[in-house]
Amino acid sequence: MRTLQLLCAAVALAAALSGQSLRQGLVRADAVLVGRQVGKRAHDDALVLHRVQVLEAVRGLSGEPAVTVIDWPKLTLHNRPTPRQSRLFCLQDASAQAQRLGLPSSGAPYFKLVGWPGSHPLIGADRDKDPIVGLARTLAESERGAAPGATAAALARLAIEGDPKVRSEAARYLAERSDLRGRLSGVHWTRLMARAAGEVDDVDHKIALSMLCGEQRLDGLIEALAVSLGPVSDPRFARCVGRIGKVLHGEQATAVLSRRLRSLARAEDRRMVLIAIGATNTRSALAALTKMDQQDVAVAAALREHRSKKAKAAAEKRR
Amino acid sequence: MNAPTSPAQPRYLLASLLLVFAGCGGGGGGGLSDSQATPEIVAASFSGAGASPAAGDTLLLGFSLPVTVRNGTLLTDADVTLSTGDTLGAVDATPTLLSANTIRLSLGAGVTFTPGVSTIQLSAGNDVIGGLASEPRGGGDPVVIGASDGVAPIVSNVTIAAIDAELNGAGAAGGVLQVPTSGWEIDLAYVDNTAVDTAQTVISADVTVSASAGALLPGTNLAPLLTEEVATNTNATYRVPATVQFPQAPVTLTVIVADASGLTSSPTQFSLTVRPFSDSLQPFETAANASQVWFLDFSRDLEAYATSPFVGGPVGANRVDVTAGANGVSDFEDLLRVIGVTSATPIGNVQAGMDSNEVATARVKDLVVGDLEDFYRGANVTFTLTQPAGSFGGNTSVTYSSLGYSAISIAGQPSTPGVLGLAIFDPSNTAQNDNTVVDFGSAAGEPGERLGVFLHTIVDAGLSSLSASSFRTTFDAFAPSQGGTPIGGDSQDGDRLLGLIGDARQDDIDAACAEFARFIASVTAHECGHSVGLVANGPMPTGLYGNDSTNFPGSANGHIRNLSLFPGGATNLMSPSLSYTNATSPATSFNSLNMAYLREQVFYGN
Repeated sequence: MRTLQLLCAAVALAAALSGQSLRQGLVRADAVLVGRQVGKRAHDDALVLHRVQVLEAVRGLSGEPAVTVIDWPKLTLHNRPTPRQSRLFCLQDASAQAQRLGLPSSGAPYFKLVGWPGSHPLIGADRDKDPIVGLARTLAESERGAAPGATAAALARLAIEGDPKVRSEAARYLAERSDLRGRLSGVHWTRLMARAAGEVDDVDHKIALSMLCGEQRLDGLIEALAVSLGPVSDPRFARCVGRIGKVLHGEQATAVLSRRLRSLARAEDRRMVLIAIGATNTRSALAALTKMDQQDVAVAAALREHRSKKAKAAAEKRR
Repeated sequence: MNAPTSPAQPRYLLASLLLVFAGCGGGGGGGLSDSQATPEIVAASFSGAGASPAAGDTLLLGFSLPVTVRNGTLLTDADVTLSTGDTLGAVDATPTLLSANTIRLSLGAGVTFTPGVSTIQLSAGNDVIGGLASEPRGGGDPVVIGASDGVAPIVSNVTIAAIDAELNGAGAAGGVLQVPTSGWEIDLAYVDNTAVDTAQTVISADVTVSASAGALLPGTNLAPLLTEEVATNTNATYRVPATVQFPQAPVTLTVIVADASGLTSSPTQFSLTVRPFSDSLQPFETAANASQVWFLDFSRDLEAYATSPFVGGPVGANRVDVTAGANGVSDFEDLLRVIGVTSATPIGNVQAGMDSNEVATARVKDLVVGDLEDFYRGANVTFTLTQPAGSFGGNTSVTYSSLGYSAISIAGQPSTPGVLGLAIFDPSNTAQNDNTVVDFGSAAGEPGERLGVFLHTIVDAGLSSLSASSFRTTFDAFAPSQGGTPIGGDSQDGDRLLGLIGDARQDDIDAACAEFARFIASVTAHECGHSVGLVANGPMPTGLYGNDSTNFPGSANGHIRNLSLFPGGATNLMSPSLSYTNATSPATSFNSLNMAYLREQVFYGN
């Protein structure tokens, strides 16, 4: 049996690295710990019980040295304890199941791993230097009442200069938490926007930062991001810019992006800006694109990004 | 000198000759016991200072197999059959082996033939050119001697069933494709500076292949016996018909192409393994059922769903709250209401007595079926919204002979948070599977796992996501919680559902229905994929490269992610995780190996 997990962050985008929805596991799980599977026994054909030694209780535990994780062996659940490996465990309470199964109290507490992808990563030997443990501790301390400003600043620092394993997760978490975003200073936002505009290698991180800045509705954001259209040739980024443009500027998004067209010499730069315009899905974009050169492949690509029938028909005609 | 034979003569002649040779055994008396077919000329190319051949000019002969040249023996008119009146001249130099399957001949004084018109083939008098395991002898069809264009063609790819190189054994992940004895396709790609003469393409195997006329020795050119599906200047596809049966063995195919000027490519090899289908290993049985039928069950009703503001969340975001207990409405329809595809106050009698909710719901379901049929195109699988006769009788998996369909629920909330779908993994698809159960693995009274597709996961994540997310830029216009007007909430929506208005809202309605259906179809295709055997761990022929995160980063147990094979924003359907964006991408599909498995071109297991 197999599970399919939702790449939650990627409701907006598809993340390529581990930790895509780590933050969901960290904040939605009943308990979070760093642990190591030290034993395993079959309950029956359908169930296996993994004994997990608690190396560090991040939250949701009461000092237990070990927990039991219920697993279905015929399921290829993505998140499954692996012998002797130190991993982060984001756990859902399974005490009710354990009770009905008649499992011994000596194995308590009983849990199962949550399904969020990236929520069961490997942890390094030095936990104090492991960026994933660092993020987990930050979010756990926030739940325990740490000052929101301190949490927000810590997450912003991770988003700007953190380890690649956690920096995009930090940016996404900040984007999803308006209460924390509101605690960031102007300096933070200046640095975040500069980082969003300047990143060219890690497109997933660039998109995460762009979405964060878009959620904060920063002035001049689209203009800043548009500079990367071309140097960053991944169409996912162009689509992201188009969607943010629509949210921030509505029908005016086309005009804002079109201004960028005037100063472009490279065909790739122009193609990416046009894709962003198409991805705004605005009537103004449709009007602008249908007035452009009928034979231009970049225009056809932009029309394909627009969801209207008229745009698709025009793109098909050009093809 | 024999009378020339038309170059257009059917290749069946060649095949029959080879069969005769196979029956003759050793033959030539030189000590080699023939265990291979005899090399034949597949291309000939003249190269000289002028348009007509002169002494000292060159004739290149390309062969179907690696050849040997008998030491010190001249290749003369006695060894070949040329068109009437033609001659190689007074050849005074022995031929030179240029490559394994190409020789160069320096033409002699008095040479006469017409490039582009004259033909050549090995004659019965050949005592110069032999195979690695066969004596020199005649054979083959006459081929036209071309005028060399100076550039030999290059075979750039050989594969099976369009499987990408990184999945066909040629990549870093290793492995060897396993195919049935017939029915699979061989794909070739090649390049040349002018044109490829597809009629001269050679496909041979290093094993004895059975054909309707008998056994074909290793090295026999099989191309004439294969079904040519495509053959262009850049690529070709041949299907192994039922009349051609490969033996159960490791096989190496060798491919040579020739261009219109008579130059041949270097031989290109591709290794695979052949194994007869067995009931337990063939992906789709047909003894009990003509095809595998999947019933899409939208009826599960376990909970009610409502929204509440996501306090501290993104601007305008909402969470989808769950209230346990059936509410008389399927969970699927509950969630359509949440995202505004249906309305609390539908417009009546929009089409054939159906209100706007019924029309929109039917459209989404129909689109799901259509998308699934696209994903599984070429596989022996169908999808239906109507439950076929019979039941699982409380079992989760039953034999094919006992039931005519498998089933999957498309419903609401999973047992485990963060999961989009859960299904029975059925290696090699040995049974009908019920992915509608809500208590898998449970004994009496125990809670088990819900199976199916869980739309609450995506709807909750979608409505609580950022305002510029793909999901919200589609559904904020409709979801009441986001301030949208649900489909059916505007007096003209009935006409919009019928395509009669043509305004921007109609485009948005069409997009919302199509996107949500596409998402459901992608997840359903993934889950059904597991229940028909995708993606077994390990390289072929053990598995389909599941769980190889070294060579396919991001892969997991039972899943494979293929970053390099899909454009940005799209993914393999059998990736461990799907986003709303990549699940709805038009470029998202099964990877080429998964697709080949579904089409029964390859299979795994021993």
